[in-house]
Amino acid sequence: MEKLGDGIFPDEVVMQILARLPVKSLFRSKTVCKLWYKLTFDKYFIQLYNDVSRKNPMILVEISDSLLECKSSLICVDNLRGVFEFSLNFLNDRVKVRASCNGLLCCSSIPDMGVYYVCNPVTREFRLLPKSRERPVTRFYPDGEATLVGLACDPAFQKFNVVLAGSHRTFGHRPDGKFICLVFDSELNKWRKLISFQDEHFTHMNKNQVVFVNNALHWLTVSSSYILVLDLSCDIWKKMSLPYDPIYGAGNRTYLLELDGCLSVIQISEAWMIIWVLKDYWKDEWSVVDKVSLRCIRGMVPGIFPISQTSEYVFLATHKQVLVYHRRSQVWKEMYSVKYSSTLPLWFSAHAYRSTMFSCN
Amino acid sequence: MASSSSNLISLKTSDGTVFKVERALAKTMKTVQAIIEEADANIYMIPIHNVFSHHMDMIIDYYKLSVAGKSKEFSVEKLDNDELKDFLLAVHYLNMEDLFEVLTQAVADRLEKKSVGYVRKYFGIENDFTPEEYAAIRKKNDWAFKGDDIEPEEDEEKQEE
Repeated sequence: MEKLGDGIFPDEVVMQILARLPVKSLFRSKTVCKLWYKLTFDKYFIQLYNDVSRKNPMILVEISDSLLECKSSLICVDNLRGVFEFSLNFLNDRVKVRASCNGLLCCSSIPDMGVYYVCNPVTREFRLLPKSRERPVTRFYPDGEATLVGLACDPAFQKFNVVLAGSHRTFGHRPDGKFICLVFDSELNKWRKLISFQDEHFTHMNKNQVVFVNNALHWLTVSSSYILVLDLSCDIWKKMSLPYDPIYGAGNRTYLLELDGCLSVIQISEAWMIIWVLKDYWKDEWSVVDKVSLRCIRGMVPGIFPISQTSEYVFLATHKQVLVYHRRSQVWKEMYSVKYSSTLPLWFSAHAYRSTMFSCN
Repeated sequence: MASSSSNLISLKTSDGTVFKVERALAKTMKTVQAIIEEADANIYMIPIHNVFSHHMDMIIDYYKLSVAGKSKEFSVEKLDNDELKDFLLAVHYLNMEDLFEVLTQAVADRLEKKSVGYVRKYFGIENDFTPEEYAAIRKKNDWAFKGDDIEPEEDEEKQEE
């Protein structure tokens, strides 16, 4: 490989430095010289960049300002750099973030129901998904929009799936109990349809917190008695048990997150936050990795929601704040606080996120 | 003799200073570890090229802090850019994973808000784009150049005059 620098800095060192630059700086460095420009498209470098940023969890939050009508913007909070503004204006549409997975976002158009984008906010690439053959307005029930939206992004194979699922209702008829699931395949650029029969209900947080591991999408249900799974390798819906007896867990709030590529459940009671991890997916073996006292944030407990985590940090959102808990030092820190009154609580549209250079095209 | 019963390893820096370091510290230097493993019983001093005694001082500082669980307290703020570059290259030569990550992040942090011209100087790189090529790439990525906290490019400063 040609030398990237003046011969004094070995290539590997230069790449390791560039991999630790925040996105904007990295894109500016494309103009340094021809070799560096090509570098940002180099597979090894992209993998390196993604590996480095995997260790830096982020939380993406939509903030709405009740003073400025219909103006909402996105902010990203990360432990390394703090808070910075995020923009999806390159989509040229007003959108709502529906799912976040391995650096890609799936957004739905607000003015155009049934229009979805998959984008990488870092590289500003996006793909407008083709409309599925179905006329979405007459298919999904009750409000014409899919109940569940999932994004399954596989960085290793550079492909992704988008899943839209919900109860079915033929135009002019009552709902027939069918559960329709549309799956978009990025490699074929096509949708496929699965039909099953289930009657499940989901809270707002259940819908936001879809987790993609082991080539399957996972959602918690209202009853919180099991995890609903869509296995994308065989297009089958399954159920997965939770680590504890649902009766025992009553009174606790339960949330589904990812932890370093594994499925994780966080239980919040009045005084404790318990973090479970499914270490062996196939053996269904869950273990408690941490039991965190919530004494320091006692007053906030009823309104606090865990959003993203790594083995070192847990990001949580309340009505007006984003907090981070550092597990090793057991320290709580406020990372962001809304300055003005907002119509919606921060946790309402908060997603786990990490920046990658994964291309969605 | 660097026999297995000894807990200290002798390292000789390029400027001739000999440091006796704990075996555990030597283990964090993959290059040194490889030399020890390959060596026969007669090696008693391991020369480490490209590493000066002031580098070893800092390496020992970092090691002591990380053993005490305080690696976050290690700082290279007092080093100027060239000193930091040298230190990074020394640590790279010794193949010390954790410290290497710390230093590459430190360099990245220093370059983060700098202009492209500054970065070129830092790495000693010539701009090999034609003005048209540069303008095209610059235009495409213009969003990355906007922001109050980012150092403006030299050519832009001149235009404002």
